[in-house]
Amino acid sequence: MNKLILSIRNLKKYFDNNVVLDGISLDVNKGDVISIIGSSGSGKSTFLRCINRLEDSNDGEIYYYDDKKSYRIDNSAYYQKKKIKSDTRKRIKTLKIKKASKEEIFKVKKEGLNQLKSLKNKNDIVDINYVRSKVTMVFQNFNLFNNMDVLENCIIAQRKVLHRSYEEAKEIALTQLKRVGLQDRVNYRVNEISGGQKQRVAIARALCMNPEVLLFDEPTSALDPEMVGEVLDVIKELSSEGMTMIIVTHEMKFAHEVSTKVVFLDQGKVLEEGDPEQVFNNPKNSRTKEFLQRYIGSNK
Amino acid sequence: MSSWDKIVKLLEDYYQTFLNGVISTLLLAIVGTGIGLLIGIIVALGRNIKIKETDRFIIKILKRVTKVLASIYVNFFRGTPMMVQAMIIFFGSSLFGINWTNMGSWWIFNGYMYCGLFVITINTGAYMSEIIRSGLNGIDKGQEEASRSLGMSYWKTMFLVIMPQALRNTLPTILNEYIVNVKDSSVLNVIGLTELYASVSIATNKNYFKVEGYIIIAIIYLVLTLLATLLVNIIQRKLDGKKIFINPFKHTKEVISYE
Ligand SMILES: Nc1ncnc2c1ncn2[C@@H]1O[C@H](COP(=O)(O)OP(=O)(O)OP(=O)(O)O)[C@@H](O)[C@H]1O
Ligand SMILES: [Mg+2]
Repeated sequence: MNKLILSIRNLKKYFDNNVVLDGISLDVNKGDVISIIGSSGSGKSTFLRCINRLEDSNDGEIYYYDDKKSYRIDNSAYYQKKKIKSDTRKRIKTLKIKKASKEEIFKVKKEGLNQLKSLKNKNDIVDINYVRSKVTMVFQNFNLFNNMDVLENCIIAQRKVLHRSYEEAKEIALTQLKRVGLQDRVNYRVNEISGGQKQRVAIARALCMNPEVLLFDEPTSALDPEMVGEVLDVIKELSSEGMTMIIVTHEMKFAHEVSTKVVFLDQGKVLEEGDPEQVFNNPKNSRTKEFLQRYIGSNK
Repeated sequence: MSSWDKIVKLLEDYYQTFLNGVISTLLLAIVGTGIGLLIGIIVALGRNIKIKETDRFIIKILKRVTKVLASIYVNFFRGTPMMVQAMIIFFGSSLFGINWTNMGSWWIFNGYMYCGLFVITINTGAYMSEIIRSGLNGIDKGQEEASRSLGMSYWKTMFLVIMPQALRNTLPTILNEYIVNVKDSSVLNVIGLTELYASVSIATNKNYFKVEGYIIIAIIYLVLTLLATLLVNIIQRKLDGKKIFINPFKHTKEVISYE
């Protein structure tokens, strides 16, 4: 039952010299609903965007496990190579200053080369677009395609990525739109529906790809309060159907209800993770406590 | 002889000359705008290339070269008068073994026309690329990211999601380029091309009805541009309404109900 789908190991991301993700590790099994909480700027969005490779990560690895194959999603190999090269160069320099023997310097060179070689073997990713269709993302601002109607929004990627026939894609799109309760909006233009409906279309659009994992980045943060419920209901429904999800959210009550695991991110590090009961009712870390008090305190 | 009589006489004797002038001018404007738009799209894509740190060294260089060349092209053709460009291309082509004057001729088609079409097309391409680029930059990044996150490639995203919207949003500006071309094609007479403006000198060569000749073509230019302006306004009004939008799918709209 515990089938591993995503494995994130020691993920690091810098923007210039600003460390945004500082060695994050997370395993995602089939059926997991993982909520990621944390204050603004803690790196939650960046974490999801690295998984979807909308951002390049600088170090660490992300693996996606299919039925048959494993794919390395991240492309931090470039940065890892760069680091190995500069480290080796530095080591040789210090050795030279110390007037070390030629054999010693040669040994260091060889070590560097071996590290580079092993990196090449690990870098077995190619088809990022395939993986993206399997690990797909729902955004805070919906990001529907404005030049298409609701139905076409759900069809296009099926046609162009999965190469389904128009008829088949339409059938699937209608099924998924019905699943999110929008069967009577299929021919509406994007600007003719409400925010909550837009987000539900975005969810249906992602579901049409038959994803293994859905990534949600604050799916309700851009919504008017009265529309938050309808979107959260859809996500709850998905979780009860066994969909694997990683959800970045500020809706603590929802996270408590829906998740199988809660991760608290602070300054690019996982400060606390565990089942929701434990994290919400009995946080171990004082920063988690502080953060939850701010949120739950203001909600009550 | 009153001016009115002169105008009538000119039209009677030289209507064929004016007609050929009108057709030449329209040909220059339509071809220049149409192919210029295609060039503009390609150049805009070239200028918008993003160089990623993780790109391979050779790819980085190719991208950089493309960007620089595209930028030189745009800045040169936007920064110099078309009249000067026409002269350089007309006389400079001989350096590359092209002689526009001995290309044979049929009706309005001859070497001067081909050269004129070439000049107005690449000139328009430079302006179009800036129009398209501003259109592309006006589409929010989010749609591109959403498309990529569903697994669509960069080019599929560009041509199915981003470009249709950029074209739709800039359509009035694109059509305005056509109006500019109707008028500015007149400078191409410097290379000996007889479009509408140059047709006056043929028609008034012997009778010296210069003023009347220019009044005639002024009216024709006005009609041509006003018609285009009218078209722009109609299209703009339709685009502002909700129902028309550029759709990469060709199927007709059908109302689907699902039970
Ligand atoms: N493209 C970028 N360039 C430079 N810095 C960035 C970029 N994107 C994010 N950052 C920085 O990375 C840090 C983390 O940003 P991120 O958006 O991941 O935070 P977040 O946890 O999602 O916050 P929020 O709750 O406000 O959405 C911030 O300090 C931000 O300024
Ligand atoms: Mg965020």
